[in-house]
Amino acid sequence: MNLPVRKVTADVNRSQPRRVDVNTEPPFLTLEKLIPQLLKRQSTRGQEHERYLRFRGQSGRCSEYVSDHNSSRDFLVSVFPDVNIKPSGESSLAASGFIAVGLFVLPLRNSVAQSCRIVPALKTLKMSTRPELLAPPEIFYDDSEARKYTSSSRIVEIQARLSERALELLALPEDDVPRFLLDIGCGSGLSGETISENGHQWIGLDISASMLNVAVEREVEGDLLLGDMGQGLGLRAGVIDGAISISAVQWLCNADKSSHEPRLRLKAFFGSLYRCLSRGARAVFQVYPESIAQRELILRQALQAGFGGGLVVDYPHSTKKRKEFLVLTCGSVPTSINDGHKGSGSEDDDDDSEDEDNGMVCVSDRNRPRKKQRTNKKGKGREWVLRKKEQSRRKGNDVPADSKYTARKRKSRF
Amino acid sequence: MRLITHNMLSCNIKGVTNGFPLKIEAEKVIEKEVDFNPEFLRHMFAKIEWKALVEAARSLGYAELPEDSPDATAIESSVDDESLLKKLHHALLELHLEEGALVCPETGRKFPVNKGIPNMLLHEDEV
Ligand SMILES: C[S@@+](CC[C@H](N)C(=O)[O-])C[C@H]1O[C@@H](n2cnc3c(N)ncnc32)[C@H](O)[C@@H]1O
Repeated sequence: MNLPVRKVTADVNRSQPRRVDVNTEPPFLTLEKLIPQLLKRQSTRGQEHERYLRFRGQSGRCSEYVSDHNSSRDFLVSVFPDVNIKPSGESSLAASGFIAVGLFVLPLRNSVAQSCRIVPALKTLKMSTRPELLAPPEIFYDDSEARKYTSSSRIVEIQARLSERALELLALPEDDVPRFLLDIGCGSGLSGETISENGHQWIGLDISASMLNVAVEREVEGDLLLGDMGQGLGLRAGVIDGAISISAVQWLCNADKSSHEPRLRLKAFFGSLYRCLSRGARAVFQVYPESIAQRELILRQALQAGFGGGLVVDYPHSTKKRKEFLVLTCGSVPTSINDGHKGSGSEDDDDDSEDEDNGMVCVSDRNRPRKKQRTNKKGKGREWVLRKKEQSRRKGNDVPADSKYTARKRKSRF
Repeated sequence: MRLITHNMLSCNIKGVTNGFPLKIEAEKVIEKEVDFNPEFLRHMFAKIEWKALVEAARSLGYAELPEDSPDATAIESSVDDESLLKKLHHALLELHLEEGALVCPETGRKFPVNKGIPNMLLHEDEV
């Protein structure tokens, strides 16, 4: 098959370039070899392209669904770097700020079977290092990804460490009573296992059946639900003692279907989470926001749902080890004091972005319950600190030696 | 899925005001033994909707729970009433709905349960 190759220099919109991270190396032949049958199926229907391009503006993903309402069929549409398949799509693509060119539209008859072929191809192309830019979660986390997930000792270790830290930030009462927790985006159950090891019961929610199947195979102790957090959680009010979520919430920032609006999905999610948590409970999310704007969007939707709290950043100065946790508290203290944003009504309220748009903030406190709580508490005491340090040492972490200064009282004005 | 989860689940289709409790249509039920932890049961007791639990347990073929909710003090001091806690333990944590469906009480929408996993994904027009 002879495809015309033409490199296009994209005139990247200067104010907000929406760029896909592309590896411009040899995608083209590999692609053709990998999925020739798909290449033959390229649709030449301009209509879909048009719709796709408009849609693409808000999402920034390399591949996603587009529903064609006339024929009520779904298409998976992908952009390939340097593969110029449909010349007519080119100029609009360039105008939208993408350096990737080449487009192909795949009618989804049996979405799962077909995605099995297309997703590996996308991954091989290394079009982006961010999985959520490659494909929708239920497509990206297919059988092979799910298996890879749990068979990589590196991933297992990272997930365990993040989950352990999230549980710590959840600050459950230390009374040896097991709690009933939620694991959002539980995947293959790695994070859930950490919850079980800490003696708690849990429900896990995930949108990928493949990931959940691996969780079943691994005989996790929690209950599993196939569901989309962006549709809101169907749980009764006040019944959950706490929630964690590891590397999942940033997925909500993308529109996977033309009906998706990230802001509304975040809103549905945080609103329903707020309702199902018991008062005083916390929710801790480890997130990989793609940009400051994305972090802001997530945080703002959480606060608008009624949560208090803020961001905790571990290793803020290390690009590799840097980890962000969104720590939310569910109404333990009246939030009306000091709270200028609440009840302002407008959804597009941009006030919040002012205080932390430089991305350098290590711990952003929002003058909300968390802060209050901290001053209320008498502090954990030396014994507690020593125990925690010992725990951490046992996990092989680098922990400063104990000294007479360990856990000493600060001056009150500190 | 265990009944502790069923007791918390409700149908959140747009417009549904009373999506709890989901009716259970059981095709396959399995039992798995779990360590008995009275502390956890006492902690959870206040959150449980008793009637829904009794009904759900019955639909999985377990009819040992008392019809009326025991009062909280009975649960708190159930040293002499260990058997009640044991029953609660069995109903909440050891029975699994493996295959079947959950049915929304208001709309009749069925959520299939396969390999113990309820499929709670909503259709686009239900969101
Ligand atoms: C990086 S994995 C984390 C897996 C899990 N925490 C673990 O430790 O094994 C992210 C998970 O989020 C899930 N996810 C993404 N978007 C979702 C959504 N809208 N609703 C539910 N789960 C979602 C994905 O399917 C994936 O399993």
